[in-house]
Amino acid sequence: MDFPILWMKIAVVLVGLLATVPIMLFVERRGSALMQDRLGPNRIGPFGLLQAALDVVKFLFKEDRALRHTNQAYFTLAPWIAVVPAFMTFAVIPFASSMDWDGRHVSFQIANLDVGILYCFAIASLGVYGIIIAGWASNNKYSLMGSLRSSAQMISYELSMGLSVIGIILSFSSLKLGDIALGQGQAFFTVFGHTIPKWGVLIQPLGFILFLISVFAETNRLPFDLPEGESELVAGYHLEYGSMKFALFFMAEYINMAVASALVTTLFFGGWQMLPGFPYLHHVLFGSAEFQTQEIARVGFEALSFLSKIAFFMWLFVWVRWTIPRFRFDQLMHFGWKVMFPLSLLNVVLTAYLVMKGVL
Amino acid sequence: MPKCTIDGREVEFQAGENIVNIAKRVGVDVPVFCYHPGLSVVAQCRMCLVEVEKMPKLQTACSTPATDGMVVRTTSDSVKKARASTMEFLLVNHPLDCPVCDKSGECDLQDNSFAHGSAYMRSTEERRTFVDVDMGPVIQKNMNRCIHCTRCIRFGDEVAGVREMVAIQRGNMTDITTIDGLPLSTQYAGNYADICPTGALTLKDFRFKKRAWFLKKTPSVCGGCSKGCATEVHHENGSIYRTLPRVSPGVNKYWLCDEGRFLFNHAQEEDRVREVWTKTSSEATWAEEIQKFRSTLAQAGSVVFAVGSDLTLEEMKAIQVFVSQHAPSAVLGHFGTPGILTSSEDGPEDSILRMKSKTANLMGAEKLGFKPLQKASFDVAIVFTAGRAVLPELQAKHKIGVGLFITKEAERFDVVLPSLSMFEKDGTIVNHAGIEQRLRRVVPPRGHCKSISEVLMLLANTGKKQGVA
Amino acid sequence: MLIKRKAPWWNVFYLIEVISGLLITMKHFLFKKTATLQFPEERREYSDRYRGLHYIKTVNNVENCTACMLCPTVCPAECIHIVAEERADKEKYPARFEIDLLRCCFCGMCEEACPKDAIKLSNIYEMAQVERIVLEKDVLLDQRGGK
Repeated sequence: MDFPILWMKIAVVLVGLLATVPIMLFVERRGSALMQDRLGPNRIGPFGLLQAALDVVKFLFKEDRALRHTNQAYFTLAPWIAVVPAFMTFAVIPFASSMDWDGRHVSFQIANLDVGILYCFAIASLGVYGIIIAGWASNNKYSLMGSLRSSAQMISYELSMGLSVIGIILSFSSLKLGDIALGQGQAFFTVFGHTIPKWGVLIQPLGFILFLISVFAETNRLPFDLPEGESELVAGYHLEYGSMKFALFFMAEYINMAVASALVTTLFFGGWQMLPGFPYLHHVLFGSAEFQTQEIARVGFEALSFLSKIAFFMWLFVWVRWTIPRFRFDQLMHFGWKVMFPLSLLNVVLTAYLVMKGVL
Repeated sequence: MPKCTIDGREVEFQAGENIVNIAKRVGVDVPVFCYHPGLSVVAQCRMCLVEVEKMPKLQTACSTPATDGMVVRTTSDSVKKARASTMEFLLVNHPLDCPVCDKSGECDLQDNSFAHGSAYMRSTEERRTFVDVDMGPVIQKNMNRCIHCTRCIRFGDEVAGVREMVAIQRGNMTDITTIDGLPLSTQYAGNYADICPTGALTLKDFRFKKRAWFLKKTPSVCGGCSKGCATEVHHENGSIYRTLPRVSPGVNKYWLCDEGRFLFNHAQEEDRVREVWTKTSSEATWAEEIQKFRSTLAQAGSVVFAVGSDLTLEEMKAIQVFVSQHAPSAVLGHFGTPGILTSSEDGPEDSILRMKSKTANLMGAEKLGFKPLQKASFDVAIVFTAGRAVLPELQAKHKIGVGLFITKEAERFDVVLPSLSMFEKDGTIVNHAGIEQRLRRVVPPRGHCKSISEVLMLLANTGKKQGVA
Repeated sequence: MLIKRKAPWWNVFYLIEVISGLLITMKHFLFKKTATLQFPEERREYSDRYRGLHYIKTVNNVENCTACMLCPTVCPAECIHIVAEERADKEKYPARFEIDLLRCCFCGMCEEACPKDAIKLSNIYEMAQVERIVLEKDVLLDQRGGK
């Protein structure tokens, strides 16, 4: 173990994820405003960029009221249970390929676990405990209802989420996310001289759709934000929360979004595999440079590709939120159990058959 | 009985009745200006023109006595046209100052213009203007608004008995004014404002105080003298704005004297005692004073209960019962107008309404067996009054007043417990002719006034229940 | 009543509908003009018939109002209080004329009822106050509200 580099990676990931929150806050508010033909917050800083920063400041300085009717210990614990697993999941996600530098082998992944994907699912489903504890500790009917909905929803959609990924695991014969990302660089087929890489979305289109929908449900984003359900549950599980405790839930939601985007990217969009055009750009700019510089540039391009893909999916989260209305709860359950679940099973069987035949 | 037909409705009538009154009985409204049931008929405003069958021209309904078999039509086209023309003629010189005029809202000219006149004016000539003379303290005159109905002239002549209003000049420039421009001298000047069909004569007291349509009207009886005139008290939001006479053929007909008309001002005076008042302390409370009152009564040797004859029968009876049960040794007597101690001494002050006894219930006090108060000296004197009876000179060591007092009067007492005026209570009063009439509660009392029966009740409560407020 | 709508089998995800929905929001995001008005800098043009803050019209520094009380009569919120008096140059004038803005519902009936064209509603609509305020006569006379 190379601890300095490990700490550096952890620091980069942590800071990066934390920085995501205000950025997404800004994107969400201005983006939604523009979609609704409004302007959104545009007064503070250029284009209202500082609005998010001030929101953070506001959260920090708001009074943290001790509510007498709540269960104080769990009430305080809940937001941390929600936010910590959100950070932890990112540990196994590779954000660039490895490189040799100064005689060391540096992999751009905090922990390359053998159980990779399983770890992701295991940790991600811990987050729901935060919501359930919050709802219960709030001692409020709406909150409890929200958290109950949340747990039912999590159980229903985690199933199809897990099953939809099995196709990918079968195709790449590994649970390691690093291997899966690497595997997606292989050539799939060739069209007019262009090599099309073996990205997950191409070999598992149904799996991708199922996984994307499940991820939306897992992150409690619209159209699956029933735990919050403003119109019927006021604010759901975080109804009694304020100031920094609420901000932690808020952070958890956005970090979950970031992690989910990273997962979608890694599993179905080639992870750190460079976007079309990037290899050419790399060749033109750094083709004649030293090997070490070339390597660093390559890693940079890969990280940039990874970030761009994540950014797209995060934007997709926002985009979908302001487009599609919320499900009714029976519709949600119907969809989860009667549509998603059979289809993901079908996907598993189909992929298994194709793998057995050696097509994939 | 003879019968006539008005607008297709057959009506019986007494010989000599005019068409206006008969029509009113069957619900047909004939507009009038100069006609007033209490005054002589002159038929000069021409507003009441109606069509009578077999008569060649339209007839004035006020001056035409009905005959048997007469057929009258009040809604035919010719009548409507005549009314519209009369209205237009009357309005040629009438200024358009309804927003300023106190009469608007209860103005005959306004109402009839709405009902029978046109909304448009053809005349472009300048309207006549007058410089008004002062009409004394009661009436405000605005000659511009006058339509020359001469009701006021006839009222002075026929009812008030003073011919003080006259019409000078002629035609357009006719000016209804007092002789030599003197102020009105009659005691019944308020009626000029009542009978005026426009805003030419209005009350100075009521001037700009309130618009007529805001006022709530409570029928009551005047407590100003033993005549017991029927009145209608106009009030809003707990304050009284004016008193008008109510038609009562047996008592006051259509009229009211100025004294009775402005009686309500006494009850609304600024320095009326509205909280418990004592000579010694400025922070007296009802509970304390009732307690002291009770012990004073128990200890006193000779007590007199002086009852003003302006109280209602109910209050007098309550005092009587209280005295017989709680102070049997006390002297009980009534007081009222100096010099008028019994109803036999009472009599008309003038030939119209006013009576010598200025308290309303002298007859009632006698009916209940009260005797006039005799001059003597007592330990304790308790005086009950509703503000109208003149306070007697009493020789007493301790004087307690219950009723309506102004601060100056209160200073003659040791303790004053504020009670209700004649406008703040229900009750019965008996007038000089023995007619029992109802006094109505018009407004609630301000401050902490208690009714006399409540005061007596608190006194009679022997202290088992503490904490009266 | 539950109405069963027959949807084609490929509608299980409503993918086409979702995508067309996404395209609509993107169209708004990219191309549509925003309807927002930047309030303190930009201001909406109001018609002359807009019913804002009240004022009493004056001619030669004499108020048109004759205290006829038609506005308190017609006022559904009972927010106008007038005390009438007499003065040398005017038979009847409002000695006090108060409008309780917090009660006023800006229906404009006072303006319609006024026979003297005295009480009017101006274009002023910025009436936020820190305290409960009753408009006194002086204020009402001063306000001209851009008319």
